[in-house]
Amino acid sequence: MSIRTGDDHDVVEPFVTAPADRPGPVDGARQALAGGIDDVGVTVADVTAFLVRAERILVRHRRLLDRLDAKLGDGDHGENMTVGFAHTIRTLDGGDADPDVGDMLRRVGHLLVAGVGGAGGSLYGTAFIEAGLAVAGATMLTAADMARALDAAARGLARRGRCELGDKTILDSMRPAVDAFRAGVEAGEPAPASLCRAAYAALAGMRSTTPLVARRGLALRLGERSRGHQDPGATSCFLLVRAMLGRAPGSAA
Amino acid sequence: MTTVPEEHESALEAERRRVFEDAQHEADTVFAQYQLSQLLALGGDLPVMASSVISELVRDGNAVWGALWLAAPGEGILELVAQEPGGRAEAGDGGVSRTQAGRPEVVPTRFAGAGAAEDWTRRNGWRGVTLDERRDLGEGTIDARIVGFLALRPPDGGELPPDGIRLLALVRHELAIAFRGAQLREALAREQALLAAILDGVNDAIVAVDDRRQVVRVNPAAATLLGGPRARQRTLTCRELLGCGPVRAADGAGEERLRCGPGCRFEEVISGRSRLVECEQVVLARDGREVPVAAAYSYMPGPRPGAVAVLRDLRADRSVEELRGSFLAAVSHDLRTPLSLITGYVDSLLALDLDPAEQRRSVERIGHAAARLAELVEELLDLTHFESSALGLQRSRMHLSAVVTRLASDLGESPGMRPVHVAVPSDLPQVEIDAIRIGHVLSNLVDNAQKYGGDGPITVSARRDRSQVIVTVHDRGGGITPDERTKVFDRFYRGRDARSGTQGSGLGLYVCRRLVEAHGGRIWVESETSGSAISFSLPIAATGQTSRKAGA
Repeated sequence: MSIRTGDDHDVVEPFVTAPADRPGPVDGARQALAGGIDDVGVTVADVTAFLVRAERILVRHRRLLDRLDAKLGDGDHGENMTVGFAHTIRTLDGGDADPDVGDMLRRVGHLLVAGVGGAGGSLYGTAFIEAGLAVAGATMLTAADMARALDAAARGLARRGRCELGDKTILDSMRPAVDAFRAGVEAGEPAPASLCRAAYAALAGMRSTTPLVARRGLALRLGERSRGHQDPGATSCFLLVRAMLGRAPGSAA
Repeated sequence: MTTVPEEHESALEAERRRVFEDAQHEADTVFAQYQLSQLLALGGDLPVMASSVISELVRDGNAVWGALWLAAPGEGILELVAQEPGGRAEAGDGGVSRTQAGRPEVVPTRFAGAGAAEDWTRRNGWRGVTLDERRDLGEGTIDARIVGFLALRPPDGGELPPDGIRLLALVRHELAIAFRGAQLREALAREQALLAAILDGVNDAIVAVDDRRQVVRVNPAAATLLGGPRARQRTLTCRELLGCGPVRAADGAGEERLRCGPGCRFEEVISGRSRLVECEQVVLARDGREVPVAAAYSYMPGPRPGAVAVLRDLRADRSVEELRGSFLAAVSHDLRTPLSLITGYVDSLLALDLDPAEQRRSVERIGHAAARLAELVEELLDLTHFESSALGLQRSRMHLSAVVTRLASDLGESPGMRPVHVAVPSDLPQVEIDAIRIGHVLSNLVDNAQKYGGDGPITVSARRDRSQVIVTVHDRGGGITPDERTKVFDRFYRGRDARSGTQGSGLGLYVCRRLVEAHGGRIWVESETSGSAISFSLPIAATGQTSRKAGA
């Protein structure tokens, strides 16, 4: 599934038209249920797969992110994210086979802090670090673990960025996504379905940033002029959540 | 491997956690500093920068209000530049609104100095920092100048969190530099705008060259005078622009070198670091024209020295001189003609033994010539009055026919003059005019008709046109060509008849125009199929009583 970009402010929903040869999110959930797996069981391999998918999706939307950032910031968010994720993947590649997922997430976080330019590096980096700490020592994450990790990620990002909902930041996409995931898990849904919810929530959150006036970041200096433009950070956040869908390596990106 | 006892394990974990959190805390502060740096690096409008910075710091410091004062460069007084409230952001249907924590603040708009600012913040429970710029003057001397003062107000009864206090301390120097830079940018922009306004507005041509004789600046007047470069053309040398002295080749190969040769005054002034004033010279414009100018050259010091030339176009001066010259010649001639008539008749009266009838005729002719002289002198006087705008009209209400009748005896009186027909209805509304001046206009127009109007009769007519009375003097002469129609009323303009030999000072119609315009009227050439007609308008005198409509 590819995300077609319309105009500058629009990222078209990918879920509506899922190509037949690839499992849609609902199919994946059915598969998981059919296979008798009621826990997702995220391993370090899954994290690596996610990073690869994330990098691909970011590369595909690099220009969009740069364009959005040009309206509100300094025009390099797309470049920063793609460079940082590529650097992270390269550095981790062929690393030790430590199965500790929490530790890997933490290392990813530190690599993002160092490798992603702009504010995004520090913010996403903190998110991953806090997520890793929340599940330190675990070699396979349950859905509940994921929920805890995601929640820690969002709280860490909010702390680092000193941002609140409505400030027109990454958080406006991340927090709704995390809450949607947790709600799904608490309602007993399997992780893939909850991730699907999270992706929809992230999409809505991303779009909700458009009419907001920026209260954090470079866009802050624009004041009223920041209205009417979608936040690039919230956009990249949606893309990352989207990349979480599809667990197996090589599956839908 | 020995297993660590459980309580030690958790204590260790707790300690590790604390260390980790402290590190993250530290990183948070670094990030806050980074975001502020990023904001400052984007530069921009000073008020916007100030506003954004305070918003950031208010948020980072958990403050309820923040304000920034800046010192104007060179002054100690701090002026309030921006203030921002803190508060929770709430996303609603109409977007995000901010509810303020606490009451709105009233902050002083001005402080006498940093000391006063510090006193105020202390007394009111705020936390502030001075933003100062420091320069190391060497030998242990540091020159500190206050750029501004920034203060945050903690929530009631509280203090800023340690992170907030620390952040303020960390960023104050960077803020000083950034705001200083913004102030300088503003000042520079103002200076440039002023310079541009001056350069664009002056009539003189201004040309600046650098030490390699490349032209670095021309003002619009220079571009017009010299047909010089538009903005995007390649840079010219002063030789190409002004035709400065030839360049001596530095090497024998005949290649042009930029160090110049004799004749270039820019070079003279640059190498001598001097000034040259009142140089009368001829510059060569780009289209090959030679333009006489009066020029002044000045040296422009600096790391890349240069010179500035101010050129005054002398052609306008010279043409006015020429006009004055020819005018004086014509006036002299005009005065001489009646004078010589007078002296002629006086001589003959004295020398010859004329009979009383002949004597009477001679005296009459002397009278006419004297009247003509008087008219010319009046014209000249009026001219000086125009120049000094002290015309002094003596206006009174009268019928135009009265003026025309008064002159009727003079119009067409003398032998050789063609008859003048008068067609002025007696029921024309009254006008408020200076009878003598308007009489002057009429006699001038009729005079012209006599001189240049061919052979046919001359007609003076008048009619009403709405709120004006229009008087027309018409003759059957050669007429006035369309392109001359506006020019004939110009000062010093002498038409083709003048050129063909009939002398005139060229003042007559100009004086008529000024006099008519002084009355609030206009004068123009009517389009006629035969001959010429010059008309002028006079506003109808306002009636004292206005009739009221019944029942209004």
